[in-house]
Amino acid sequence: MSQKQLGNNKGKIALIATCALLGFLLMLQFRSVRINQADITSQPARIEQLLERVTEMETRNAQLSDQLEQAKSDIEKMRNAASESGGIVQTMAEQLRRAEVLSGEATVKGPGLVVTLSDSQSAGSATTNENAFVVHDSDLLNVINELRSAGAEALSLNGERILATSEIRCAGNTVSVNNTRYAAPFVIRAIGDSDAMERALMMRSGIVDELERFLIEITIEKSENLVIEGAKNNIVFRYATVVEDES
Amino acid sequence: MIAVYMAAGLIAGGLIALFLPITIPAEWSPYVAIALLGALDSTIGGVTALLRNRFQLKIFLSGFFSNALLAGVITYIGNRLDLDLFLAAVVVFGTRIFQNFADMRSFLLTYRKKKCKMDKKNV
Repeated sequence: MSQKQLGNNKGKIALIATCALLGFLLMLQFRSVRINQADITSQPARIEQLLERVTEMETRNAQLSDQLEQAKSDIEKMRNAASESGGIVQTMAEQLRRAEVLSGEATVKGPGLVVTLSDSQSAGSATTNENAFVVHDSDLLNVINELRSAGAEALSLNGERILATSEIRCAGNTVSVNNTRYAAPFVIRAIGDSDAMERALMMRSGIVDELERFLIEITIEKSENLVIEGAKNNIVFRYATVVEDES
Repeated sequence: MIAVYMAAGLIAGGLIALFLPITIPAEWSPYVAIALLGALDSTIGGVTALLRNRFQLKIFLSGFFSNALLAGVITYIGNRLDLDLFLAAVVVFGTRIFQNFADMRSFLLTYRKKKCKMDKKNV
């Protein structure tokens, strides 16, 4: 009986020890769970903070845009004053104008095409991938590439001038052009030989054929008097510098 | 008497954990929780066995640690298989906790009667 009693005493000690361990773990877990959940709930606050900063930045952006507009009109005035004094200045002003057209900074007009692409209205059957029925960045790139190959001289996408530095890139369910996002429908304006450009697009098994296979709605309009806005934002060169000609 | 000591041990352990500056990382949390459930089951089982005078130290201690370990392993495998295997441990431990609790209760409620019978037999 004493043997059994001893065993029971040991057992009691073991039980008390396990109880202590249990209490320890329990409290540790309670605390950890509370802290971890606090981490999770603090995230919305951070999102709000970031949103606030975005709005702040957007306001600042708008202010800077206004300043830019002001500066541009100043330049215009100076140029007018300069061209009045004639001679070399006039040739230089002409060269500047040409450079501006080439770089996409100037607003230009002329005959051309307006190509509109919108997402397919039919969602397809249940088994088809609906991803195939929306306009993608690559579709826009293909259209623009085709237009350029047919001799387009100035291009814009949803009013955003396509520059040498422009990107056309998928950004979620929108497309980012000159770091501004646009959603369908996409309107591409191109100044150039409108017949040649239309033929290039309508080529058999060309880009229009391919997009129509996915029921994407694509319309092509010819226009005799198309206006393409210049770039909205000035390009600032931070890395590239001009190499001086040594000869 | 033992119940008082056990409660004291529970509170002492809790107090130590309350003031120690350590926390369990979030990804470890499920394992600790399931191991806790296993330990709770073993402790209640141990108390029941003690009351019924069937308590064996080896069985109790091995059960305490191996149950907790097995529960952790099952949870890990479940995570890897993307199958909520930890539910198996939850169900088993939960059932046994209630079972042992019921045992303990019925024993305590009929304790006096039994003791009387035993005394009569002994006499």
